[in-house]
Amino acid sequence: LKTVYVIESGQTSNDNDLQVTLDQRMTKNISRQGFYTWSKTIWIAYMANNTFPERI
Amino acid sequence: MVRPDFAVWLASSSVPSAGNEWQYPSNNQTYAIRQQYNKVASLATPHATDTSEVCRRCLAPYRYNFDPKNPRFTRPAGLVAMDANYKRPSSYQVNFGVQQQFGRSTAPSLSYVGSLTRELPLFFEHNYPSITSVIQQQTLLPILMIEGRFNPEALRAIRL
Repeated sequence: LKTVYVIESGQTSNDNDLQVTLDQRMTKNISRQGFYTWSKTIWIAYMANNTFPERI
Repeated sequence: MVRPDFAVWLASSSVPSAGNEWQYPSNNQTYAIRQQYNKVASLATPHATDTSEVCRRCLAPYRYNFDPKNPRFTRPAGLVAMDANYKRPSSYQVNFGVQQQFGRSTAPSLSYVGSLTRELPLFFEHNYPSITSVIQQQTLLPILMIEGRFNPEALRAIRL
């Protein structure tokens, strides 16, 4: 056999986002908005059996 | 005035990053046998034109006519199997936020969005050498490329 793949449940991801927004109405017809977003993603692949994984 | 909001979602198996794992890589259906043809003469009929690999009288894509009295195994090029402990992928998404108005014209808000995915499928190639054996022997270089893709675990082996 050239390749022997085994599909395992070996991946986990955590995505966390925090956004701060400021709305301000300047006049009757004009308003402005500012925002800042902090984002962090961690992707984990477990190395079961010490073999090389291929992420999909 | 303070205005809070929150929501929680749970999705099972329809995780965007998981895709359709049973169709990846091409034609690697679970427990299916995939044959390899090195001398493809025509993409329209890839397994029926090269007589050196496939007999003309055989029913494509098989390499021989099946005879119940003389059964033979087809040599596969690859095999994909499911792990016995495979679990269904799931995704949890949660968000909440709060907005407070100050005066008549200013309203700051703070919002959080979290997306947690669990039990995502992962393909393991069991014919490649293990990292442990590579480190112990030390005379072997870590495999930098796997099927045309850079293998980040090679750097991990070097660092260890």
